[in-house]
This record gives sequence, C-alpha cells and structure tokens, in this order.
Amino acid sequence: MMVLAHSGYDHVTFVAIAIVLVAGFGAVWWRDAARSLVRFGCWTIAVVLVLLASSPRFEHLAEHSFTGHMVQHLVVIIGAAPLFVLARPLHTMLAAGVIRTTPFGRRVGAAWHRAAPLIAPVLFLGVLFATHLTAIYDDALGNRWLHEAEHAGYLLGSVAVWAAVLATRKANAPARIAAVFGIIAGSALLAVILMTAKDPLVPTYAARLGDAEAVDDQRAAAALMWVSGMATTLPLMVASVWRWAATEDRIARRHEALLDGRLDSGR
Amino acid sequence: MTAWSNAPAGPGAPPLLTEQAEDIEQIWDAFFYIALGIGAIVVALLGWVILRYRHRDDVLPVQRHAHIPLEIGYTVVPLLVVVGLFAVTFGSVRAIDELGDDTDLVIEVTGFQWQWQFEYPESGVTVVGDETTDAELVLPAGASVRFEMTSVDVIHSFWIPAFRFKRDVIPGIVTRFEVDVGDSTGAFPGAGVCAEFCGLDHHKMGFDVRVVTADEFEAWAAQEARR
Amino acid sequence: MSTIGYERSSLVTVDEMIAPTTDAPGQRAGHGGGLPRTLSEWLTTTDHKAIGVAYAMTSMVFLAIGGLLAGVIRAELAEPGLQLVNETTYNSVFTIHGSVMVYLFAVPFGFALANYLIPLQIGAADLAFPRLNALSYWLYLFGGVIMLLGFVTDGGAAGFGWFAYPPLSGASESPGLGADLWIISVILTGTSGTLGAVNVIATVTMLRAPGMTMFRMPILTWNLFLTSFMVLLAFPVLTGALIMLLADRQFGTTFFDPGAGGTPILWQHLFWFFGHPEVYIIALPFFGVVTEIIPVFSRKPIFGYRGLVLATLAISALSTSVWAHHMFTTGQVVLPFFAATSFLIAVPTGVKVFNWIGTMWGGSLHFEPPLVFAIGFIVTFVAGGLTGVMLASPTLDFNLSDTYFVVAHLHYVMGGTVVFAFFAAVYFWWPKVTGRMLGRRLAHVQFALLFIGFNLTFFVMHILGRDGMARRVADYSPTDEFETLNLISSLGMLVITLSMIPFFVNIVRGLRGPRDAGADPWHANSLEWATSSPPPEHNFAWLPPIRSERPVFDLRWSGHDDVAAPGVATALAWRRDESGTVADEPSPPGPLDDDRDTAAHGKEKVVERSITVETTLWAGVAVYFAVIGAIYIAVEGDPAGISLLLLATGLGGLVAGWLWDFRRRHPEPRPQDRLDADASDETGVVGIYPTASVRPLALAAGMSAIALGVALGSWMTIAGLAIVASQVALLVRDADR
Repeated sequence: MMVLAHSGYDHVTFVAIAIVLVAGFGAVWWRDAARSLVRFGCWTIAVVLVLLASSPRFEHLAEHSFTGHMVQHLVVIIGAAPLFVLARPLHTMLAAGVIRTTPFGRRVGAAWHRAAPLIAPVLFLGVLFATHLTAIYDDALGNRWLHEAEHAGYLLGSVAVWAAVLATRKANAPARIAAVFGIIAGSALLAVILMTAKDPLVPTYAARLGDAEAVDDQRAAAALMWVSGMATTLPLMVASVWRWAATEDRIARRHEALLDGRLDSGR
Repeated sequence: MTAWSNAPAGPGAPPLLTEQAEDIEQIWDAFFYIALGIGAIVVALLGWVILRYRHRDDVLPVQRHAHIPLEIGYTVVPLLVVVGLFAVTFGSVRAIDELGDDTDLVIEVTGFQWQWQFEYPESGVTVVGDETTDAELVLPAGASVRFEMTSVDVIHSFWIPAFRFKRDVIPGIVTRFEVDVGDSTGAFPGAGVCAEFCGLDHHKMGFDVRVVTADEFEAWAAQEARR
Repeated sequence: MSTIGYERSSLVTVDEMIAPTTDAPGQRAGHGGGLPRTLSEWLTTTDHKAIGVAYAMTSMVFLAIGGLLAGVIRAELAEPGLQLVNETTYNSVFTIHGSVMVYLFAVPFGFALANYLIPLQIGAADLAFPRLNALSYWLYLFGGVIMLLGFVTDGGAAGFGWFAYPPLSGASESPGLGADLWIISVILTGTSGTLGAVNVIATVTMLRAPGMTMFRMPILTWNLFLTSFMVLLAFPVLTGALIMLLADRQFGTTFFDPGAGGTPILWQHLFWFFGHPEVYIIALPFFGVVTEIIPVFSRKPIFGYRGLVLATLAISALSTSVWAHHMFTTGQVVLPFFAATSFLIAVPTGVKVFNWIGTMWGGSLHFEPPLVFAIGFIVTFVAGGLTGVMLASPTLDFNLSDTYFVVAHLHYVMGGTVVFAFFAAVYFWWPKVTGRMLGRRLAHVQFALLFIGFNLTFFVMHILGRDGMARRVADYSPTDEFETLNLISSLGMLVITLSMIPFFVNIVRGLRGPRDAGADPWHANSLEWATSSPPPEHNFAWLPPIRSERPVFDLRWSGHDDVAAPGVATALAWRRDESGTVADEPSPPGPLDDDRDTAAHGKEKVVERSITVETTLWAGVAVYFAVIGAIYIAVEGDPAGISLLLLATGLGGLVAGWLWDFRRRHPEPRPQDRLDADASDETGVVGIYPTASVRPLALAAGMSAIALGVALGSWMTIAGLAIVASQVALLVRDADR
C-alpha cells in the first residue's frame, strides 16, 4: 500500500534545479538597468521555500501527519507563491530584453488581465478540492512524483490567484474583490468539511495514527489551513477594497481640479 | 428546583465547590474590574463631553476631521488589553479543559427528558431522577472526578454554578470534563441545572449535589450498590 | 480650519438652493412626494421610498408583536409559579419573541434604511433593481405572516428557541405544523434578505452620482454596503441549513440525527456561522445611523472617517470567524482560535465608540431627540460590548453561557442598537420622509422612561445569570431566591411599555402637524437633505456639487472657502447661467485615464459590460453544473440527482443563451437604458425597469406557495411553480419588447 520512495538522489536534483533557477533569474535580473534588490530577494526566498517544502525532512513530516502535510502545502501556497509573483519575473525579463512583446503576447496579456479574477480562483479551488477530496491525497503520499505534481498544481493555482490579486493593476477592482471573496468562501468550505468529518479521510494517516488520533490530526490540519487562509485573505480583502476606493478618490480629485480650472493636479 | 441550604443568606453567587471554580472566579474578578474600569472611562468621557460641549452660541466649532496618532493610540491600547485578556484566558482554559491520566473517580452522566442519571461504574451504583425527585450527585471531597456524559434524546447541558462550569450533553457524542473537588462538605439541593433548552419541563430538570468525605462516600456507594 | 461665526443671514439654506429647480416647467419633481396613495399603487410600487416605508411600517408592527410577547414573558416570570401560560405556550412565546425581533424586525428595519436612504445618499434615482426590491419586500411580508400563523395551528407556534437546535427541532420532538411554518418563514425572509443584499451592492457599486466616490459616501451607506456582503455570506448558509432541517423533518433525511450518521453539532456550526454575522448585520446599519446623527448635532465632521471605514471592514471580515464562541460549552470546537478572534473583534468596535466621542469632543452639542437617543445607544452598547468581552473567554463562558447573563448581554447590545439607535433613526429621518417635525419634549420624556426601564429590566439579569438562573425557563422555584430580581425586571418592562405612550402621541401628532420641515431642518450633512421633504419622484431635481463626505454642509457654507470643501463655490458658479437657474455640473470630458475602476463616468460602457458579465456568469453556472453532473453520474448516478443537475445545467444555458441573443439584437443601449438620475427626462422610466409592476407581488406569492407546499401539500407547491413560471415568462416578454 505504501512505499516510502524518497532518497537523497531526488533531493540533489531539486537542489540543482533550484540553483539553476536562482542563477538564471539573477542573470536576467542583472541585465535590467532598473533592477530592484527586492525582486531578486523575493525570487530567491521563493525558490528556497519550494526547495524546503520538497526536502526529505518535510516529506517525512507530511507522511506522518495531516497537519504536517498541511504545513508543507501552506509553505508553498502562502509562502512561495506570493513571493514568486512579487519578483515580477515577466516584467524583469521584458526589461532585460530577454523576451519581447508581440501582438499575440499583448492579446494574451490583455485577456489574462480581464479574465484573471475569474479563472484564477476557479483553477486554485479546483486543484484544492480535487486533491483533498479524492484519492490523490493518499496516493501522493506513496508516490514521490505524484506528490511533486500535486505541489506543482498548488504552486500554479496559487501563483495564478496571487497574480490575479497583486499583479493585474488595470483589472476591474470589483472583480478582484469578488475573486478574493470567492477564495475565502471556497477554502473555508473545504476547511469546514475537513473539520467536521467524523472519520479520517486519508487512509495512510488512519493506518499510522489510529482512527481517533487521525481524526484529531485532521481537525488540527483543517484549523491550521483555515486560520492561515483567513489570516492571508482577510487582510487582502480589506486592502483590495481600500485600494479601489482610494484610486477612485484620486481620479475624482484630479477631475475636479481640472474642472475648477486649476493647473496644479497634485493635491 | 429547591433552595441552596448552604447558600449565603439571600440571593448571591453560589459557593465554590472545586479548585477550578476558585481559579475561574479569580479570572472573573479580573475581567469584571477591567470591564468596570473601561466602562467608567467611557461614561466619564461621555459625561465630560455632554457637560462641557453643549451648545452655547452659534459659533461653528473647529472642523477637525481626524487625528491619526490619537486614533492609532485608541486602536493599539484596546488591542493590548484584549491580548492580555486572551493570554490570561488561554492558560486557564487549558487547565480547565484538560483531562488527567489518573482520576480518582469516573461518573457517567446521562441526560434525558427531563432528568438525570448518574452512574458510578467503579462502584456499580446508578442514581436516576424522576418527575417527583431530583437525582442526587454524590461527590467525595478532595478527589478528582471525571464526568463522561451523553444524552439519549435532545441536547441538554450539565451545569453546576458552584463549579462555575457547564458542559453540553449531546446525543451521539460523549462529552467529558474533569474537576478537583474541594474540601468543604455539605448538601447543596438544587445545585445542578439543565442549561440547554430541551423542551417542556426543561425548567424542572435540576439535580442536587452532595459533597461527602471519602469514608462517607465509600459507605454510601456500598449501600447504593446493594439496592 | 479656523473658527468662524455661524451667521444665519449669510448662510445659504438648502430650500433656497433647490426652490428654482422644483418650480421649473417640465420638471417631474413635485411637492407631496411620491408615496403611493391607493391600495393597488402600494401593491405594484417599485419606488424605493415606498418600499422603504413599507419595510419600516411592517417591521414596526413586528416590533410591537415581539414586544407584546416579551410582555408575556416578563409577566409570567415576575413571580414563581405558572400564572399566565402553560409550558408549551411559554416555549412558543419566547421562541417567536426572539425570531420576530431578530428575523422580522431588526434586519428588515436595516433594509428599510437601506431602501429609503441609499439612493438618496448617493444621488441615485432608485435602487439598481427596483422590481427585485419589491420582490424582497413581499417575500419578507409573506414570510413574517407565515411565522405568526403558527399560533393558530393545533400544536401552536414553533417552540424550540430561535436557534432551533436539533434534535429538539426534529420531527419526533417537535411534530407540529408550527415548526414547519417557522422553518419555511425563515427560509423566505432569508431569501428576501439575500436578494436585497444583491440590490444594495449593485446600487452602491454602480449608481453613485458623479463626484460621489467611495470615500465620500456617508458612513451609513458604507455600513449597509458591507452589511450586504455579510448577508451574502451568511444568509445562504442558514437557508441551506433550514432546508436540511426541513428535509430531516419531511423527507426522512438524517443530517442531524445522531442515530443515523448525522450529528446535531453540524446544525450548530451552520447556524452560528450565519448567526454571528447576523448580529453584526443587525448592528452595523445602526452604527451607521449613529454615525450620521452625531456629526450633525455636534456641528463637526465625523472624527476619523477613514478609520471608521477600516473598522467596519475589520468587523465584517472578522465576524465570519468568531461563530464557534456560541459553541464553547459543547467541547467540540477549537477554543483558542475562536476566543482569539472573539476578543479581536472588540477592538474595531471600541475604535468606533472612541470616534463617536471624538466627534462630539470640541463640538457644539444640540440635544435634539436624535442625539439624545444616540448617546443612549452608546452607553447601552458599550455595556453590552464589555459583557461580550467577558463571554469571549471560554473560561468565563463555560459558566455564563445559556444563562440570564447572556440574555442580559444580548439585550444590551441589541437594545443599544435596535432600540435606542432605532428611535434615533426615526426621529432623525421622520422630517425627511413625511415633511413634518416630531415634538422634542415628548421625545425626551420617552427617552428618560425608556432608559430607566431598559436598565431596570436587563441589568438585573446579569446578576440572575451569575446566581444560577438558566435561560429559557418557564418558571423557577420560590426557594431559588430569583424572585426579587425577576420582579424588578418585570417592573422595568412596565416602564418600557409606558415609554411607548409619549412615542405614540408624538407620532400621531407628527402625522397631523403642518408640513413645514423643509429640505434640511437639522442643518445636516449628507445628500438626502439636498432635496425636498418628502423627496420627489426620482429623488433629485438637481444635485449639489459633491466634493466631500458632507455635500449639504458644503452647500450651506459654500461662501466660506475655509470651511466648505474646496471648489464648491467655483462649481456652483460654473452652473449658474444668465437666467439664474442652476444647472448640473458638466459631465467629464472623457475618461481621464485607462482606469475604469471608477463608476463616476462611462455609464454606457457599464450597461454594455454588465450584460456581457451576466451572460458569462450564467454560462459559467451551466458549465459548473454540467461538470458536477458528469462527476455525479460517474460516482453516484441516481436518476433524481442526475435529473436535477441536468435541469440546472439546462436552465443556466437557457438564460445565458437568451442574454446573448438579447445583446446581439440590442447592440446599442436604448435611450431608456440609461442609469442616470435625470428627472427632467420625459420618458418617465429609470433604466429599463418600470416604476409599477405586479410581477414582484405575484412572484413572491408563488415562491411562498412553493415553500409552504412542503408542509401543507404538494398541490400548493405545484400551484406556486405555475405562478412563478408564468411570471418569469411575462418578465422575459416585457424585457424583450
């Protein structure tokens, strides 16, 4: 049923990939005249976090408890993902001249900016529900590559969400707020399902810990997921609403200054 | 429900029968005085404002919109207060809610509409109340007691104000709590109350509590078991 | 800002400003307001002012009923022994008292405020969806009546407490029809609220007048806006839980039956996930009311506007994460987390109190009835808030939960809001709604009696709870020694009842007094005071320039540049032409930059885009159900479930298809699709929605019949479905003409 399939060899591969990623980004970033140390820092920390999440230590933790597994996932979703977005890889590559804007690329970009608040939450919540409520969760504990694929799915989904919220400045602000709202609702629902389940949902943990403790562990994992989710999304929501209102205010004041015939537009 | 025969004269907070109850009462006192203090400050501010700033003339007051440092101040200070209150609470909740490894006595409580059943599995004693007589909960002084409770119909709640504690009694679930009974003995009729609305005779679902010495407890248990 | 003299002669009055506009020929604005006169006008109105008044009147009737029931409770509990009613009746009395007060008075009065005031405060002609608004009202009325109908059934009205915990609320413990009627009633009123919230959010997002940015909206509108988000989050959960309970009772499901795989704890989680945001849904509009009143009567702006907005945001966000503090005594919830969030939520609430005091500080206080009641609110609410902090601690809550201490706490917070702030709102906006003033002295007498009576009734309950009196008890024993305090409490109730007498006298006199209030009797701040009292049809014949959160204040002080917002005098000068008539501010030359975030311009784009968004959403619904359906067929595959899912997919696709076709046939917005509030337009309609329609009433009746049929017989459900289907068909036909 369960084959512990991790070895030092796998981890060396990951470390190598991580070094390549950081060095690659660094090289591109260096070519950007207006380079910001913050972006490089974000990227590096994000890569390190992903590396940490796939380290054998964490894998061991994940195989032994639901809560530990949750910590592993949260490191990716709440730790690494926003940092990847904040590092602005696309902008950096554009500024460095590594990639160029093409008409097709511009159209894709515009479509993404318009549709992101709808697509990203659906993607993220889809991955979340699919992995937690089907056999994938349990199978991933036995199969290392499936586990990494699961993490890749989380990374992709959460990067999409963070990008939709943080990096689409021109998108419809109400849509962005609705997206955060949707994430809150969806992840809270999952947390409630996990918290109120009377039986353990993941057979691996049930076998390891015994039914009673597995249910307690499950509840603790749900609480952790829920708390970190709320601690992240609620301030995001407040900040989104605030930003929307502040932008609107700024525009109105500029318009009024023009109307009043005043030449200075900064108030 | 019957009177507190050992209660202080006249209405008043019930006596404290367990060690946990004494700790809880101290925390109550702390909260009470802090709340009183904050309430007094707010009322004083309001009183000052009402007296000092009633309108005397038609001069338009200074149109102050905000004062950021002050606003931050009266956000941070209450935040610190509640963090402190939470810290106080957190420690005590663990102490009240935790279950020890070796309790002296286990009592199985079953709530039903509209009385209680107390089983002492180690002694083979069962006490049941009915329409005319409330059940009586006999506890040995100075012992640690664990209550394991469930209901056979609707949700009830096992409340002993003298414990400063209640726990719901829910069908399909076993709820548990532990107390360390204090040293004072006595009979406390009507000391137990059902605190979750459970239908028609909810208000008659009380029970009595009696704290006896360890020897008296043994004697009582032996006598009850023979019945 | 310097202190300047408040010279009456140099100040502009609002009446002077708007008089030329209301007398101009071709204006639809008229004195006397637009309230319906005949019964059929009332039944078909979609005007937000009429519906707001209807909500207010209906909720006040329910307040009276709830108060009557409270009177029965206190009369019964004044002395030991069952004097008035038997246990069954008592249990129904306190259940319906709580339900009526919470579901049928407190929340609907909030909607009354939202209905009447939001369009007026943001400069719109009506809510975004007037017919949906009317539907919400009728659903509320029918739902409320259905709850009370329980009293005439055989088993009496529902008697399981307003939170209806199973198994007590299950089929075996509460077999009567009254219980089913209660559940159905709350489902209907919950639906009403959800639809109303949609309306409010759409209105505030889309229909604000030019210049009315979010940070210039009155705090009342902000609070109602954020309340609507909480409603969207909380009410559907309750509705779902109620449907589960109804299914357990009627269709043999076992969601909450521990003997068959369910658990009563699930109900508690679902109910309180709704229940806690519910109390903030009740409280926030009243916080908004007080935030409108205090600045006016202190002659100062609200202290810390943005801080208040932030605090309200924090309360709304946090309120969704505190619910399990109602379940501490079950031992089944994560105590530290919920204790922490419950403590935290006290902080923004406290910030608000300090902001209110800060507004009054340094002001010039006029103790008119609205301010007096607002101060009563602050005192009562703070008391309730402090006991709330005590209850946030599980250590203390273990002892105090489900006792009269909680009854005291909840009545202090509810009393602060739904009693004192309620009267403050009535006194403040009565002149605007009716054009008449209410008496000052009678109001002060009422306040004194109410304040004394309220504290007598509820303060002693703190002590009773500490002494060991549990909640929801029909009786207590003479030897419990609760008698004295209960007697005091009941006498307090008498005083509260007495305090209603000056209020009624005041109202009756107020309805017959001279209609001389004028547009701005209180020298107030927000936009509703810039139109006549009562407001004309479509609300505004003319909008003042909106440059701050106090447009009417700025209007009165427009000649004083250091007090009014900058640019107001210039903007007014812009508008006057040689003839002396005052026109509206010129609309902006075009979008200033690419940012379409603001709703202040580009209304045509808004209409186009909204149809695209709608079509996409419905298509998404169809896709969602199709995907779920596919998974369901693969996993479970029962025919009933599959049919339902296919039906949902089909309906979603149908609506999406119709909308897409509609858009294709109407590529340009029609003249009547404008969203502007322009009372000079001769077409007589605002947007694409008619001002009078019988569809909402009929739809509400149909929906109520569908729900009632679950308890009364499937013939009723079928009739309801037929009514709903016919009305929807007629709606589609009307829209497509």
